Amino acid sequence: MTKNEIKLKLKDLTVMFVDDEEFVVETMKDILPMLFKESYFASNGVDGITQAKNNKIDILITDLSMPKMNGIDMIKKIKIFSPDTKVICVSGHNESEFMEKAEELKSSFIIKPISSGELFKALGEVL
Amino acid sequence: MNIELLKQSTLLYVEDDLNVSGIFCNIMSQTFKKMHVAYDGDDGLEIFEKYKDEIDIIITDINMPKLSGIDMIEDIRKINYDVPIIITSAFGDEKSLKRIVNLAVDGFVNKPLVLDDLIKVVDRVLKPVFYKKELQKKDALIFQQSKLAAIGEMIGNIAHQWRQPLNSIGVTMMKLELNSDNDNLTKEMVSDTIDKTNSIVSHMSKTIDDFRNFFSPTKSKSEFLIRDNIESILSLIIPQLTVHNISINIIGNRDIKVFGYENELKQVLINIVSNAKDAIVNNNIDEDGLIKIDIVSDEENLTINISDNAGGIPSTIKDKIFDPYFTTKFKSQGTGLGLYMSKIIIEKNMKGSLAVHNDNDGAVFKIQIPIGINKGK
Repeated sequence: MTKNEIKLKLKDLTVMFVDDEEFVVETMKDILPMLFKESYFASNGVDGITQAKNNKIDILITDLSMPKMNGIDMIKKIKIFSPDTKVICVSGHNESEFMEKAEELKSSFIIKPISSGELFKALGEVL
Repeated sequence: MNIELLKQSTLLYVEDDLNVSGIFCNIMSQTFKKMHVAYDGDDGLEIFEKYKDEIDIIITDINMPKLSGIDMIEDIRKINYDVPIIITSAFGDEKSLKRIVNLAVDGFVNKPLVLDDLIKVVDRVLKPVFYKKELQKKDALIFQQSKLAAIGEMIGNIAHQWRQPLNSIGVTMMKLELNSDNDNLTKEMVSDTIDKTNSIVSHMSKTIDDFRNFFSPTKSKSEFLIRDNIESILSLIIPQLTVHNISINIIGNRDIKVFGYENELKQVLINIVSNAKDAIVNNNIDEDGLIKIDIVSDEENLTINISDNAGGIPSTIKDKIFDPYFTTKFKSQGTGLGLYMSKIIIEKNMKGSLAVHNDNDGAVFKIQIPIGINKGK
């Protein structure tokens, strides 16, 4: 799938972005609405679950190490009531224990720092 | 008999009787690594002054024509009080014996010399010297290893510290790219991106400066504000603590100063706080993790209490935690040197004390540094 083909598909989909870093969330608030039909944002796992209960999420892009509830636990809980949500995990190099768990959850993986190349590659994988 | 020590040692042999020295020189030169021979006291003194760094032991006669053995020893002791000295002599009047004892002579062998007896005495005298040397070597090695461990720990912290700002730059670039793709790019957007990226880059640059300062050992003691010292080092590890929901609480007057090695004290704090973090994470405590740092001072002492709520140190290991190479962590994570080095830094280098006890919530590490004594330069 080319970048443009992916972009075309995203126009009909909803996304939720979860990260505890305010700057990243704020920047993503400018980026994701350009690509998706609807975009939702959360700054921790607990918040993310509430948003996912209230809104239908097609694609979930989430950081893994976060306070309150980490990304893996949040994904597991969301998958219970929303099994079709596709997941892309964003994480650092040294969090290999998270990486293994993310693989078990059949999610795609982006290693920080995030870039458009990596993001579109991961989006291509889950679509 | 073990003559290994002799084979590693350099001997100064002082003997005026050519009949005696001739025979022994032959045997001794094969037993020792190296041997210097002198035929009188003044000769011996001259050789010792020239080779004082390599001579491990002296064997000397007493009765010699120009300078007696005892007079020579008296002069040698002024240069070096530790080098082992063995006397060989046929006579022993009370007056000489008293002088010999006062000169801290290490051994005495009667004449006529019996080789086995002499070697036995040499071996006994050399043993503690070598033991001391081995200990010094071992200490240097441990210091090196602990420094490497600290560097490893700090590299982990740098990686963690940089991942976030790098990611921020990544998303900023992504925004630029997508706006450009959509032909939405405005001049404001470009300058906004440049401003944001520059600010992140200068923050990263500051972080690396902080780490560099941490790694350079403090060459001399200086007076510094203790709370600033603690806060500057904590700023490097707080991101790691936040990930595990651990909060950190510092209480203490901002004006308290201490005289000592600034960066070494930081190393101690990193070790203790990292251990507290590991204990909180490993013990899966129900409530949120909390590390408290309490700074108090009186006329004589500065006291820093570092406490956690991880349940305390089990009594079975409490006596061992300051031993070198003792670790409860997996091999890949712990070297068992952190607390050992911390104790050396506080107690040997800063003449203070480092101890631990448990309170109701967890472990309490107590650092005490005398303020007054250290100030006297």
